[in-house]
Amino acid sequence: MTRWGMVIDAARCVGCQACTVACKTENQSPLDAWYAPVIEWEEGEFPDATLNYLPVLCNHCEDAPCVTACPSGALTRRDDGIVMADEDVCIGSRACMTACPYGALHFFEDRGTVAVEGAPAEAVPSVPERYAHQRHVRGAVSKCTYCAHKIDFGLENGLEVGVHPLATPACVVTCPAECRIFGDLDDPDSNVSQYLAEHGGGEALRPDAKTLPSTQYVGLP
Amino acid sequence: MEQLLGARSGTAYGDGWVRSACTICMNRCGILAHVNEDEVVDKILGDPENPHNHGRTCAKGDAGFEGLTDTDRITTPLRRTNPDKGVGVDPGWVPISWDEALDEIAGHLRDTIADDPEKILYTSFDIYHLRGALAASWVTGLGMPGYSTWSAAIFCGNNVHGILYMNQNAFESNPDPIYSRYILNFGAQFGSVVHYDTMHSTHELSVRRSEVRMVSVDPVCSSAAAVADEWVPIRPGTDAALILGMVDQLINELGIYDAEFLKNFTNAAYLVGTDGRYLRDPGTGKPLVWDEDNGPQPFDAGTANAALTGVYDVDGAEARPGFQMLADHVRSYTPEYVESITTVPAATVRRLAREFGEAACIGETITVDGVELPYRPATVAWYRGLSAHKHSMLNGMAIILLPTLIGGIDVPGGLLGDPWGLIGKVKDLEYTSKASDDGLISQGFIGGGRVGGLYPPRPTGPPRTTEMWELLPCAPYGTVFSLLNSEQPELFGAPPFPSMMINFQSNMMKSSGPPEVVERFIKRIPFVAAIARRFEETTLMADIVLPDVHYLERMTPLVYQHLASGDSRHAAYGAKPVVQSSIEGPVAGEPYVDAMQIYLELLRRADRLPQFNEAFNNIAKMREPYRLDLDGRYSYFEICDRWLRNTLGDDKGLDWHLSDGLWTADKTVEQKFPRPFFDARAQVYCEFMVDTKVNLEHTVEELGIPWETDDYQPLPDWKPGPAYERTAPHDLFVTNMKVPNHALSHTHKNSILNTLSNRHNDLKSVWINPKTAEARRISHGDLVEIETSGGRKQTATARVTQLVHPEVLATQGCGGGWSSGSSGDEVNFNALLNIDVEHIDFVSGALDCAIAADVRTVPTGRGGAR
Amino acid sequence: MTAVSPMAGGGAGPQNVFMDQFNLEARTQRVWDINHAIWFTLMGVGGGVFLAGRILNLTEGLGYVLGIPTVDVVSFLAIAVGGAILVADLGRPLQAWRAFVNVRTSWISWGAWSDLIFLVMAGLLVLPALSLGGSEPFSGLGWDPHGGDGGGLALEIIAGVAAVVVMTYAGAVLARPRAIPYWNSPAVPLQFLLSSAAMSVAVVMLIEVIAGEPVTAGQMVLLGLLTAALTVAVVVHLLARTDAPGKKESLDRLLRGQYRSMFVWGVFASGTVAPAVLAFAGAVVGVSGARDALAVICCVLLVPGGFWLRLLTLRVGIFPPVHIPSVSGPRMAAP
Repeated sequence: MTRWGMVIDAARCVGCQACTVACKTENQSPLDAWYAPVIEWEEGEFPDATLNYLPVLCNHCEDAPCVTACPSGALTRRDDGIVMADEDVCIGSRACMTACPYGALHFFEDRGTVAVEGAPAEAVPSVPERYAHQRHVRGAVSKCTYCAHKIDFGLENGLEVGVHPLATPACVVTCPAECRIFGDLDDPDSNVSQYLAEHGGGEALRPDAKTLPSTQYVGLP
Repeated sequence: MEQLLGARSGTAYGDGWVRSACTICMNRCGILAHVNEDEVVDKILGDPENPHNHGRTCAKGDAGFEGLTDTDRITTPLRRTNPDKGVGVDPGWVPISWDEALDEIAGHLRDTIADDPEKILYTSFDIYHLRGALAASWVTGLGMPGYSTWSAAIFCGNNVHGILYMNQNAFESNPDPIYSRYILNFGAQFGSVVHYDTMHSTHELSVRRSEVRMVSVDPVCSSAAAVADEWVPIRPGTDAALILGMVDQLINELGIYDAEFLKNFTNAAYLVGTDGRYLRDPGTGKPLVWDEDNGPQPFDAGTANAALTGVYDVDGAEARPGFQMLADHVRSYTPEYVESITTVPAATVRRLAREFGEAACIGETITVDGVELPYRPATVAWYRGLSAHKHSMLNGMAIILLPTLIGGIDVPGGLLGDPWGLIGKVKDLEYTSKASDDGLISQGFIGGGRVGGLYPPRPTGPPRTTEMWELLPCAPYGTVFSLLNSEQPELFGAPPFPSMMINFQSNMMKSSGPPEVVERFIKRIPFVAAIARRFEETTLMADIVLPDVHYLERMTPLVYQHLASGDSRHAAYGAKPVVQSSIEGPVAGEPYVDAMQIYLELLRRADRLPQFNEAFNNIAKMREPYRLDLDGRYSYFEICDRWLRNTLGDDKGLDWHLSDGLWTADKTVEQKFPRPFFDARAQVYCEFMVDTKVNLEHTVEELGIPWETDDYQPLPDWKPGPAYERTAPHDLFVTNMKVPNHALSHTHKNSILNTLSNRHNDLKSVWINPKTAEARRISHGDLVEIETSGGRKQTATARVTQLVHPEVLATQGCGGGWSSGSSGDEVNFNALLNIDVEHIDFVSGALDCAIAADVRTVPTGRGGAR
Repeated sequence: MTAVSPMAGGGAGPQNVFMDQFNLEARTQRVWDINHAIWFTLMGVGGGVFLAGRILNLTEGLGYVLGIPTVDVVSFLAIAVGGAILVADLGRPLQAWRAFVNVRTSWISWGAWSDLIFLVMAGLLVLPALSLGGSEPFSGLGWDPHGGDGGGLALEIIAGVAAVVVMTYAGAVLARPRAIPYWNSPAVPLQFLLSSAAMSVAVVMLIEVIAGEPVTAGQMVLLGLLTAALTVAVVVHLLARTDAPGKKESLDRLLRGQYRSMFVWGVFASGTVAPAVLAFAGAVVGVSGARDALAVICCVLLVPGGFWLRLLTLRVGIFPPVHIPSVSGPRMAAP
């Protein structure tokens, strides 16, 4: 079996937010929804103070509380471990959003964000917003899919997943610090398994939630 | 044009992907842009085959396609009907034809050239044109000495380019991201995605992050300081004191310096007399060194053992090697004295010096490509942080001492140079510099058609423009003097003021000085033309506006010619249209792909094509059969074709550019690490400053104008900037910093980045240390007003944070704007600047960006005043 | 003309609970708020009134609407209105039918089914009694609308079981995931169940008073026991896992922060403790008029208290930070 997973080496992250934006443009997410942001926090007191960075995204949990909570069956976990949201099926109950400890689900609430003040109603200000409205269903929940469409494209076209830019999640491709590695967690020889082995295993965020995530962290601050 | 769209299938990534280049920052990363079935660009990837950015892009580059199909694009030439100009004034645009617009601008060009071509002001910081020959030839063709890179010219490389040309024959330099193991950032953000060579460096450093120690000396815990091993907070404008304190420690306490390098590759051994000048050989006029065995010898006499230290008697004259002069000079910079200036603890000064010196591995070598080379894996990075200060050039002279002392220049682990100015010679590039008569590196540089640099200094004379270039013999730019002359026209006897301006890709109203100052400057210019994609703050001041294309619609070859030293591959590539602009261009029947098409039309209509052709042949180093006939009239595409073939080979013309467009090659070891392979020397003691000062003083005395010459000195000092002695209530410094995910200039209307910044950076905020906030009864989230000692104000929200020096108010980027689509309410740092004699460096042309300021809460109900 | 960024105006909250904030703080959920508190309350009362009417044997004699006992009409109306609010609050109300799909794991699906089953079964149960313009068109249906025969009793039992689920499932929705520690406790559905039961008994007593029937001491004892149990459930919940990340912030918010007075006075004092005291007082007071008055007061206190309980439970739903840094000092490695 294949279980796609991502290893994030937080110690390498430089906080540039390239992943945040690459994800947004790849997935054309609603303008104010960020599937894969880099969060940051201050630590210490001046002059011994610093800023820490931590890239976060859907953890694609084996025991995914969002899938459990979803009444409509819109949220499902594929055989390869990717948790998908079918926006056409979603009813917008947002139960998943309260169930996910990582805040990985995003409700596309149309609050007039396409409008431009003073412009004709049909004016669409930008490509990202136009495509967000074409690609996503208003009133439904969307999420990070590990760029499943790219993985599937890669598998169909014989491209190496996790290596070829068209067969690898956008956040991984763009990262200048190479702090993200994507591959098959079930394959002990894969890049992710090897990296985890070299670093004494990975850590999960919110381990108390016991969700068994496929997103694993190394070098957490 | 069929050809243009054919480019889209030229990559290995299937249909819809086009290889091009990013134009958002100086890095010009190679990109692949995707065009969807609606003919819309919907995503951008880094070009995986490009050795410059290794397939990576930053947040800005990822979002770069935004704005391509915006409804507020300028699609036709426009004429202003409202003669009144200013912020908030409706220009009353009416559409006009290209012919009418071009004829009118050409008429102004013709008249101005007949009067004085230097009264044409061409302002641009177009990244694509900057390093190429095209725009430089356009201004040279008009008879101008060069163009004005506003914005960055005021704030960036003032103490960088000249200093680097002097000591390493380079326009830009960066730490070696592969071999370096100790990197000191001085107010710079190398290692974060906010610097030069950013993608390559971040990638290389991340791979070996645990092996590299990074230290950030910065008033603010910037994004680079956040990922560094150590943040050393420092009082703004005092870095030179810390650097000279480290130099004192290295020379006088630790004895760590690369004596072999200093003797053979610098002027450190040159004997200096009591008048500060070299002692010269009476016969040859060559500077003398002291041979331990044979006494005074010309520097190039093959002396094996030139003295670096000591006091010598040369025919009755007292002489010291330049190195001894330096050693004596820095002795006063004791750690305790440095602490009193910088707030950096004396123990930290000692430790940083020792760490740096020990990390330099002096005496060690490394084998690269089978050649044994010096290994100096300790280095520094600086740009605007040290540059934007009153005593900018002295700061630059100080910082270059650190890599020079340890021999860490263009060797593995050291400071790697990028010898810009060698346009057209990509394939047979010379990294080396021929030595001057005194044995010194003396390349000088070409930027925007101008030759500039620190050494050799240019001759002085009466100023021919408001930039007063002729009174700035060592500066790379004089841009800020334009604003000073506009504000105080009689101060320097009113040097010739521009008669017309053409503005392209430089939003100087927002990105150079305080808007009201720049507004007054532009209003005084009788005719202003602007080329713009959307209305920007500066476009709104124009008399005629011409439409521009988005960078993903541009076809500009050779926008990147990677010549930097270091263990990476050469690359040359350019921009090509990812989609074709629907805007009609200046040439009927020709796709509109670059503003150069406008310039060629203007040159033709102003009868200046022969001059352009000649300039292009010279600047692009054109060879037969590609040279342009002086009387020929060439289309933009034909010029590009010839330029490409001339530069990259006969098989690499426009067709190749459009179908492939990426040239890469291996470097020789001499190109990777050129320093050991040529004999022109760097400078430790800047003797030329002595006579430059004398000559300049003579010139300004003749002109009868006041001028500051105190900073023309052969060895650097720390001197207090205008904000150093602050008095209450303006007893803080206000500064700004870059953020990695927004440029706020090129990207200031990008809705993706604006939304991200609203969520993430909060560019409306000012960072205040908790102690400072407490003393001023400011709470986190309060609306506050920053007021400078000059009375300029900005409102902001208080971010009370440990990440800033207690004496500092830190703002991010330079936001704020009033043109449509601007997010508008960020802090506009430039609006706080002082354009006056006290804040300008008369050596480098830098403007001090550490401003004395007060901050206080805004009474409720009174926010928003800008 | 300026582009309206979603942040402009600041009125609307983020689309996501905390990832949009780009920092590591504990995040208050803003997914569900007052609409959910209203339908949680209405569902609780609706299911509860149906049950209470039967348990207290008060369906008959308290008035009728179109032949249907007032108590049942109140129950149906509460469920119907609550359900309408629930559906209207969905992102895609027209797809509401899909809520029935995931009965395997989703408490919301269980809730949807229980609401439907309750309405259908209880509706069928009383249908024979429906009186329209003097005629009883469904009187021919073969069961006793009072549950007096096998068919009626079966319907009544099925509806009753469904009503219990209706009263509880909102709490179960909150309690099942571990994401929000304050919610992740059996005490939450227990509180919702007890609160629903208490509110319902009080509502039935209110109807009793309006109908001119005396409230009995036994009824008051029942109400007292339910409110006392609710008080215990609330207290136990407040005392459990007080240091857990997220839960701690929730308790701070409830007991010390912005919701202190609403919780302490609105929910705890007047919504649970006072009704309990008044109910027991009513049970021992000899004068029936005074007991009626106390019952009315209990109802007036309990229903808003139940609503505040649900609203505050939602509003102090706090996600702890996704990561708790393991070291206290920054990454400083000065030798």
